[in-house]
Amino acid sequence: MNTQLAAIAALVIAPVVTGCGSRDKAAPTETRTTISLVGWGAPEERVILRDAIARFEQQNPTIRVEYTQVPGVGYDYLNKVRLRIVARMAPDVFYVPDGAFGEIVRHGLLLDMDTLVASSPVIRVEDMWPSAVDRYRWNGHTLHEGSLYALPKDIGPMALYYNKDVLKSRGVPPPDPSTPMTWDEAIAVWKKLSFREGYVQHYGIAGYPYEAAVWSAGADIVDAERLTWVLDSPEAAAAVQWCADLALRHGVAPNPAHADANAGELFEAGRAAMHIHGRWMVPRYRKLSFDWDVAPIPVPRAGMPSISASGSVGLGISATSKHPAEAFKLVEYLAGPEGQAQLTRTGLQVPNQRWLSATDVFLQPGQRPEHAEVFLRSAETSRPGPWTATPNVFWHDVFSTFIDQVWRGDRSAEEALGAMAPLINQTLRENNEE
Amino acid sequence: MGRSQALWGYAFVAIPVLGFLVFALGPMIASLYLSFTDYQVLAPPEWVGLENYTRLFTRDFFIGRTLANTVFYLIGIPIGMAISLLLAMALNQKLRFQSLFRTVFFVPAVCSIVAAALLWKWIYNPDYGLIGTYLRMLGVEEPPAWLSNPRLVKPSLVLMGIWGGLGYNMILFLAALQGVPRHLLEAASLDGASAWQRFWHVTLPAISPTTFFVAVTGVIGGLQNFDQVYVMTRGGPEYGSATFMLYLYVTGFQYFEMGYASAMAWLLAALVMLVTFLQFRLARRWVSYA
Repeated sequence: MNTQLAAIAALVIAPVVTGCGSRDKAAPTETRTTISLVGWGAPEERVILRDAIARFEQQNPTIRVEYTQVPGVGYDYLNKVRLRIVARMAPDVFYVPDGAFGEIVRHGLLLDMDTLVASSPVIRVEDMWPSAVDRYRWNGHTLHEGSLYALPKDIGPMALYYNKDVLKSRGVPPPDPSTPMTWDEAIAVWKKLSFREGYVQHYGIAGYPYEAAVWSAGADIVDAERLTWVLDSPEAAAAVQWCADLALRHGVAPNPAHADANAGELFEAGRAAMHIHGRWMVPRYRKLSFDWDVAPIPVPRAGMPSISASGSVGLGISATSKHPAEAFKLVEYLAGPEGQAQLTRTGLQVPNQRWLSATDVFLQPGQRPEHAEVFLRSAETSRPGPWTATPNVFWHDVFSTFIDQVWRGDRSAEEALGAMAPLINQTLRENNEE
Repeated sequence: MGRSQALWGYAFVAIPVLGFLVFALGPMIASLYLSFTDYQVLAPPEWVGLENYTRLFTRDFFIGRTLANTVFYLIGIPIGMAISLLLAMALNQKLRFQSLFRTVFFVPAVCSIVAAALLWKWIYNPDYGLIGTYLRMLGVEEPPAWLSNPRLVKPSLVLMGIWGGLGYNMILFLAALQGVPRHLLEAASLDGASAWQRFWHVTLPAISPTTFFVAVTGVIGGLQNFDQVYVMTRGGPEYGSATFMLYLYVTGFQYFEMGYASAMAWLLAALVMLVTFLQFRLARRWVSYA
């Protein structure tokens, strides 16, 4: 009712004001529409987002954005959003992590953006990384297909981070920034980088994501219909076994089944010369005392494409938003070139637009990593993680728990994956049936 | 006189009864309803009839696995009861530093279970933990990873559970022991009964109501075992330590399958009621309220 009154007041006052010729006094504060934006992130991101919102409000004087940053990523954030949705206080615009997109969109809580995007003068879906955009599609029963229900705020591809200082001291030349090492080459390099110093074991590599090995080997985790888990195929099992052998056979990696082996910490402590992780680690690693760079993730054989998982956060509009047009304006701004240029400043993300990523906005010359373009090639071939395949991903938890048998060396990958297949497939289907 | 006193009586009783009606009975009925629906919190519940229950009984691997784990943990209850009774008998003697010992053994009962679980997580840590360090000093090259070995994790958690329950049960037994009639014990020893015979034929029957209470509350608590496992292992490795309650929590509060989780809650409630009923039936044979 207040907005109605304000609108009427504006209609009455407007001609009078223009009649007086003092346009700048046309108090926009009273006709402003307030939309809410809820997200999470580091403190420095908060500052940058505030800046971006201020500029957005300058360009759209009729819209006011009420921004809430929820501390804590993942579970805490999602719970806060769930609570607001259930209490019918859903934010107009909110961050939708790709892993939670399925759960949220399945319940009809997000606005179908297809027509808005099609008529937008700013957003060009063709300019965006396809794998970043497509993970926010939904056709009513399958993810990654159909209409767009969110726009990517970013894409977070993975790369092989390496400690330049350690490589230099062990006399290992830095890996090529454009051609990925083959698995055999990589193991030879990691062997040179694995050594013992008193009680301290140094590793060549820490944290090899199994998806990167499986996909680069040409195998898959779930089938195209996303109804069957196919990691028990011989090719996939061989790739998983290769990951396990890094610790078991070659001794170049810490065993992921042991609770104390946090791969990221080992890299930061200088105890792992190489480490595979996402782009989002860059702001943190820029503060490290040693020199580092990035290279492509290794491939089974020369000439094969290096494929790994990428992370992403979407910007979604609540289906119950009273101001969908204004909400979309904000999404358009943040997901558009201008907003993206600002959000990229933290170093945290790769912009969702390819052409913008190829500029200094992202490459940030003079700052680590030197070969930032590695992330762009990774984004090109990257896929959404397996945890985005279905709305309910309990099956992935089941897999992550049972795979320890393979990491420990109790069973071969072939045997263990075959044995867990019926259970994982049942869990996958049971929890994702219509 | 009677009337106003009775009114006061009702007034006092009304407070917990109201609390039960508002905060327990309402949600209980709601969860019974939800157990027949597909309810994922973000959208209104949808009636699915017995679907959740058929899935529970026929198609869910984790129900069997977690129920078996839960039952395994119950092993700790008789062991814990025996040890706390022994402690109570020792501390019932005239000892030096009696109250110091009583305090020491009661501390775990006062301690938050989360703090205690974190403490034990460190004790069990294979690299820096207390047990691992001692084993290394004794020459064991690689002490076992207590909590990440699927075979060791349950016994390790049982051990911690026994430690956690000792103090509380010990206090109950201590109180019961002090209520054992002296004259009966004296009469028994005059008749030439040995210490063991006095214990078996006098003390044990005299404290049987307490033993029964400890057993019943222990089993009910044991079937709902959650916090310790949640803090220490999150159910791992390979769901080898996951209790039924933990699986219920994960289903309901991590994956928001609230309808299904409600069905699980009712299965557990039925189980608790059945076991408690059986215990009461069996109690007729061995509990004496003389």
